[in-house]
Amino acid sequence: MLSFFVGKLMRAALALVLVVTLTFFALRLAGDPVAAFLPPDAPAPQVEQFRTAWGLDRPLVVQYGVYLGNVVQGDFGHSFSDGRPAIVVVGERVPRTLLLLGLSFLFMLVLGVVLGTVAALTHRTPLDRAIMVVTVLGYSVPNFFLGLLLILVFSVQLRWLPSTGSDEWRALIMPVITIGTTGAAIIARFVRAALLEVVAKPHVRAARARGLREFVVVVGHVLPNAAIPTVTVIGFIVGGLIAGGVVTETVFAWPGIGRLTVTAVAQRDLAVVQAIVLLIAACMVTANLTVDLLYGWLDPRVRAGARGR
Amino acid sequence: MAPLLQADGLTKVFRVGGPIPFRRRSLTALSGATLTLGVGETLGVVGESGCGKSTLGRLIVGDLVPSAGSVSLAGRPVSSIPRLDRARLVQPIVQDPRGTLDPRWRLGALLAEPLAIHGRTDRMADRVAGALAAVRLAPDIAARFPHQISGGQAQRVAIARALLPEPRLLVCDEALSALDAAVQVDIVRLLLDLQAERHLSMVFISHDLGLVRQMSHRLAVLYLGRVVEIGPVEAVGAASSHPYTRALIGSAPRLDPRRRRTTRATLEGEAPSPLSPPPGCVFHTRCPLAVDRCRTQVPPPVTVAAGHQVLCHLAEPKALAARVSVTG
Repeated sequence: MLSFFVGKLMRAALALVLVVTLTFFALRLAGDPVAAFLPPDAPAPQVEQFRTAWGLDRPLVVQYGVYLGNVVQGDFGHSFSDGRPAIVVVGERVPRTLLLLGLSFLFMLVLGVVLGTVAALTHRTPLDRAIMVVTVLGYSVPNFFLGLLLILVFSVQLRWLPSTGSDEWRALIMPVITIGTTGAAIIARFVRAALLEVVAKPHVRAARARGLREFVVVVGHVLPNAAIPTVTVIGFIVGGLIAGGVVTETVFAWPGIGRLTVTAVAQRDLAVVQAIVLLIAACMVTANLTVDLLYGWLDPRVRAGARGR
Repeated sequence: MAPLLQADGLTKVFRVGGPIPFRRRSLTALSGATLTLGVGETLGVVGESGCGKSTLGRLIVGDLVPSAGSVSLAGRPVSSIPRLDRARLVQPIVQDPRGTLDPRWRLGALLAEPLAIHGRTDRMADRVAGALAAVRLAPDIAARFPHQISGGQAQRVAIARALLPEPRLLVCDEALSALDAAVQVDIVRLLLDLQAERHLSMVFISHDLGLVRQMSHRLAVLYLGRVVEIGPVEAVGAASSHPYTRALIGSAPRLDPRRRRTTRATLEGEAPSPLSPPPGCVFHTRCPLAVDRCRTQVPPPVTVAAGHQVLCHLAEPKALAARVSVTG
């Protein structure tokens, strides 16, 4: 168990180093920050001074070495645009994004599991078919489109909900639905499939033969086993959640990490973009690690690992 | 005394085919099965695959609801017995014991569950240990998961668990087929011991004729969903038997090399599809004795001796015996 955990941790660390390296070079290949921050007709000495001040005049490899060293010490560099540490610029946006993504995750999890369970328990009835049709719609609609559609209906036409802002809970409703719908649809389909598979297993029939109540059969034997494949999918979705957040925050002008990413990339604010990418990568890696550990907890056969049959 | 198990004209029809209603057809898996089983008795059920053996077993434990006819346990129709009472009357044991054990539960918890269901939560640990001892397993196995034990151990655990609600009838559906010969012998001995200790009745379903004969007092032979013969184990397969039964016995491999060359009745080809069973006697397409009547008229059950019925037009004890000696 310990070696399993250590192995996973080392892989996670390697993934983070690769991400840092890749974004560092990709960003510097993608464009010169000088062009974004100084006017096109800036005099040569001023350009030179900007380069020296930010260390952009040194060879790329040296810049990379210095950057890595700083990151290890917790220094993520400073924003070009206002000179504040990148970690502070990113950090102040974290709570809003966490609120939005956290609620969206909860929304998709609850809606997805409930819809999937209802569909599986009413297998082959019109209700099951209706749920499946709705879920196809759910994950086929791109979230920027869904967001605009919601704004059009509930803000412009009905005037029930605010289209932008972050100061009242009502402003959260539409962004949460926008981000959560795709995931809820995918989870619903997976939960349904997983449940149908487990329900057909002999041990579920055996549970009924012992005289177990149908509700206890589902909660005690079916759902925990169906959770095993479902957890994998949820791990993937958590990664997609952040991507969905970038688009949705822009559509609804939500002052979170997503919108910051868009502006920072447009401005070639290198330190900020790198800090964001590292943060997102860390989230993904943590999500995957959590899934791996959950697996061990959910499925005793995984726990046995190499010792198993 | 009323029999423990009684089936009358028991029939199960499945609707098969895709989602398009008019393309669906009915498959009669079991048709008019009539049989009884007394306390402490074992009924063997044999037949080729697809003959309805498992359907019969599932109807008896209440996993399926009959399409027609009835099956009752201790005088009550199975489908109307409340689930807890039913679990205390009949328990199934199936071919894949590991599959019946929830892979997320330790064996100890799996064995405690039936006790909890039936509200006997006092001295639970003792009872679980007792159940393990009854199937000759060491108590420390309770801490393991289903994937950490062997197939034979898993079948013992499954039997232990089936016995915990203290049922009066065990329905063993191919319970030994997945085990190797040495383990089979072990489990047979175990089941016979348990039966003697607890006055259990058993329905023993298998395609292995030799094994079934060893276990059973009476034998039912199924062909295409019909009980073509039922009777005492010694009588079934003897001269007055159904032609199918004799062919089935003739098909069993013989170990004695001196007897290998002797002519014996065997079966040609495969059984017809139960989706479109032949008219008249369902066996006439493969029957070496078939006459015109067999192709058009459904044979009635003929009682050839006390407690021994054969579903055959030719089943007048003497007539049938005479023809048998000709065919060999």
